[in-house]
Order: sequence, then structure tokens, then C-alpha cells
Amino acid sequence: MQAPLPVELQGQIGQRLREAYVELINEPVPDRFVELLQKLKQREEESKEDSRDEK
Amino acid sequence: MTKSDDDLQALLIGAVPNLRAFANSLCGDPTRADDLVQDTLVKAWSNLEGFEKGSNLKAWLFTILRNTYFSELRKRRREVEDADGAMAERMSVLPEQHVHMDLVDFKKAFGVLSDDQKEVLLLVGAEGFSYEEAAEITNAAVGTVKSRVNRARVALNKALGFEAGESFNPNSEFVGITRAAGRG
Repeated sequence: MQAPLPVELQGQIGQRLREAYVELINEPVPDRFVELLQKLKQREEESKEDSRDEK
Repeated sequence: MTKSDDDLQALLIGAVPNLRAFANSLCGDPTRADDLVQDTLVKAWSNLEGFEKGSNLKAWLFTILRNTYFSELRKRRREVEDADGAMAERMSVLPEQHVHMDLVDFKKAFGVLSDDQKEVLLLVGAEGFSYEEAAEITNAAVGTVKSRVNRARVALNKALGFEAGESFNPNSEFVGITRAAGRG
């Protein structure tokens, strides 16, 4: 196994990584995802109603 | 937790920024990343029975996302393997990277990591999952995850050209080889 990096360098890399990642996390979420979940939930409720009607 | 649960909706939506960041970092293509997140949400929704109540929903979602990504990747590779196997070989030779510490360079450097290295570094270093959680998500042994994280850090460090202390010389192996050759 390769020798681990000195802690100081691990820290520098970790910081860069988190900075780049937080930048991505902070991007606004497109509406399509909220809409998708609403649609999935709606479909679920409709199918429940359908199965109730069948009984 | 049931599908009509408003909490579940909120939890899933709450996970989207992290899922997008992870997918984007992994595949490097924002459009494909969003498709991956969408597939992940649909799969999670239709397999909700498979989620153990009380366990980590975020870890479960990350597992679905990376499994989706890697199975797509395997499929694509099979499709193009014969056509450009030689190309892939050339691509795997990493370009020489040089210095500077701003984010653009970091992202470029990150791009030279293998997918295996990227995903564990993101899970552990960026998302803050434990090694054990990362092992579960990636379906690998904890020791494998630790050594992948380590190799990813070493490779990133090299690509970024960070100054290292006495204890770390990225060229030591190479020096060792030339010395040995000189003696022989």
C-alpha cells in the first residue's frame, strides 16, 4: 500500500475539494426535480384511488 | 415512511443538491448528471420498500446513484470497446499537470482520477461519509476504500504540484528505478 500523504497536504487537498463541492451544492435546483416528485406522488395517489374504486 | 408522507418528499428534495454535486463531480457532464439524479429519484421512489426504516436515506440515495452511473458506464464501454479500445489505452496515460492552486486547476486535476478514486474521495472527503458508510455505498471492503482514498489524494497532490515536505517525494520511485538501473 502506498504511503499516505502528510496530514498537512491531506488538509490542503480536502479544503480544495470541499470548496469545489460546496460550489456545486449551492447551485439552484432546477424545477424539474420538484415537479418530478410531485408527479410521482400524484400518480401514487391516483392509483390508490383507482384500486379503491375497483373494490 | 410512506409515499404520501410529506416528510419523504422534503427529504428527497433536500438530498437533490448533494446528489447533483456528486453526479456532476463523478461524470463531469451537468446534463448527464441531472439525468442520473432523475433516474435515482425515480428508482428510489419505486423501490421505497427496499429502504430500511431508520437507516441513512442519503447513503441509500447515493448508493442508487453510483450503481446507476457504473452500470451505464459498463454498458457504454461494452458498446464501444471494440471500436476504440486503443483510444482508451491512450487516454489512460495521464497528462502532465502543473502547479497553481485555484479551483479551475483543482477541477482539472480531479479529472485525472479514476472513477473508483473519484467516488470514494467525494463520499469521504466532500460528503463526510465515514469509511464504513462509503464502503457500504460502493459495495467494497473498508480497507479498499481507505487505500482508494489514499491513492486519490496522492494522485491529486501530484497533479496539483503541491509542495511536499521531506517525508513525501513523488519522484522517489522513479529515482529509485534509475539508480537501480545505473548500478546494474
